Amino acid sequence: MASKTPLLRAIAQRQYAAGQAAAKPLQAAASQDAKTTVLPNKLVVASVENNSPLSRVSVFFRAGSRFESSENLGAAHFLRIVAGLATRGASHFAITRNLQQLGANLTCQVGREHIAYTLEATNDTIEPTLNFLLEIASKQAFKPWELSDAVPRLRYELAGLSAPAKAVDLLHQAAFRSGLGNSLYVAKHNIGKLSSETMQHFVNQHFTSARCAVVGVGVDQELLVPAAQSLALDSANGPAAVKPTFYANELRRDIASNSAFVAIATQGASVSNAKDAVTFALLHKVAGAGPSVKWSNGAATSPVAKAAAAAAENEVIAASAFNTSYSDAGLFGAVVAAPSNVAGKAVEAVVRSLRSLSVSDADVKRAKSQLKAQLLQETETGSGLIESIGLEAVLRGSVAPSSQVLGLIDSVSTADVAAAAKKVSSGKLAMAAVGNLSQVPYLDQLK
Amino acid sequence: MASSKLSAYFSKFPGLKRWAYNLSGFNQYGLHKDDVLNESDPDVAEALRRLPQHLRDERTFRIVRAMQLSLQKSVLPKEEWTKFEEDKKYLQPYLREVVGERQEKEEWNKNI
Repeated sequence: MASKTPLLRAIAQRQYAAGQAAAKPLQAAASQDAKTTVLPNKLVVASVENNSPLSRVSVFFRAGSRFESSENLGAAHFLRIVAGLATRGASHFAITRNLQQLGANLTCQVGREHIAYTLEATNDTIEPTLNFLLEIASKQAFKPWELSDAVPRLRYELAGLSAPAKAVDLLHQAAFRSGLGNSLYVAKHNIGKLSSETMQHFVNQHFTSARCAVVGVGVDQELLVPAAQSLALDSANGPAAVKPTFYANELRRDIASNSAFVAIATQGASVSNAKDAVTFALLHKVAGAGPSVKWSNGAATSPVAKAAAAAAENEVIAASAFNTSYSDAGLFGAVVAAPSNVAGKAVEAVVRSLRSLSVSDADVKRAKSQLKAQLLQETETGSGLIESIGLEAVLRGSVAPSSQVLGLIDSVSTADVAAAAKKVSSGKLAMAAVGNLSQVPYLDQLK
Repeated sequence: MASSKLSAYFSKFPGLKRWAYNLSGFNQYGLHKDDVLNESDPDVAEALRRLPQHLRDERTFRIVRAMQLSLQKSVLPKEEWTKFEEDKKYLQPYLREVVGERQEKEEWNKNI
């Protein structure tokens, strides 16, 4: 009963790889490594056929919040909000009912450098649903009334943002200003400015084949390549990313709260130098990336958490190191969530511990096991795996096999991590704070 | 609908449309055909909600002008009456879309 109306018959009747076998032996594939093809129009197609009963296909574009200009701030966030609304070939109702009929799930994810439309379906229904995914990702109609009808949903999401998320967002704004510093979320005063034309212009500029990757998990490469070839995209390169500069700035936002959420960082490593990025990821584990035991404060293995717990005495406090790497910049620091009366002491203690991280062989060994475990756990699930290969495909153009990444982790020496710790101890700091900031020190008061 | 056969029949008499248009008289108030559609019809109401602001403003102006004329029991001077050829069917694209969406929903909800 799918697609009863003539409007959709044209879409739903297209079949790919009609000779796919009806019954596939359901054993897990030996290798999780992706097969990559780069099409002549520079579109990257990557897939991992792990014989999973659930198939996922994602269309990634290099069109995250860093590519917004001052005229369309928040376009990436709004794109995510309106994902799945009317396209040029199907109405919103038709898309919803058809996907429901086929038992498929559509999600949209936006980061600072990417946007991804993901479709998950059982492996026998992934073929007919692919058409919808390609429509939704590239042929949005941006009907003006649908965009304005989506504004209440946008406001609801903005109202539900947690204070730590806002603090980290503000940290990026303080450290990078524009580009990577653009907020991941639409500012409330910009909601009315995102018209149908603005959204269409953003899509036309950034949704080109040179900035696109079509990735799949649990699907065959032979299914994905023709589907990716049928994506009718412009082949321009699109605007280049502005090289980010790190500014040692601070941003504070006082809100009604009993707590203070502070994010502090120095320059970290970018993904362009893979070894540096891995070194900082290891340093993140050394400094303390969150407790390994649920509900503990992680003070046993995390210098950052230990410093915060000592400063907070009897109060409940949470602090962990923070590390993020983008394609040409990175941030390394800590995030502290503390009751407002001890926030000052906690922030000072955390900064002191960041500035004096000791790196021993045992620390690095532990960090390596933790990092490897985290990477393998994240890519164990289909959704984690597709996000991982999608980001690599769209930002780097190729997908490294996991053995290569694990080998890279092993190749980092204690001296490398110690050198990274030295950079952190002497680097300039950027800071962002949200909450009750009466006790939180200003940046020039922190050493 | 039977109107497609009827429309085909009446298309053989092109003057008839213009005569019927002028007879209905709303053009004497400067109104277009889409201004006088029944606003309580749910399809028309939804199509009107989707009208862009400038079309909505023009429509409001025409309706207010027509109401003023009706109050004064007069009509526009003959030169300003809306001509049959100039009657802009501005609402039809939106109306077509709304009706199409409703029919799509009804198709999906059918049990047979």
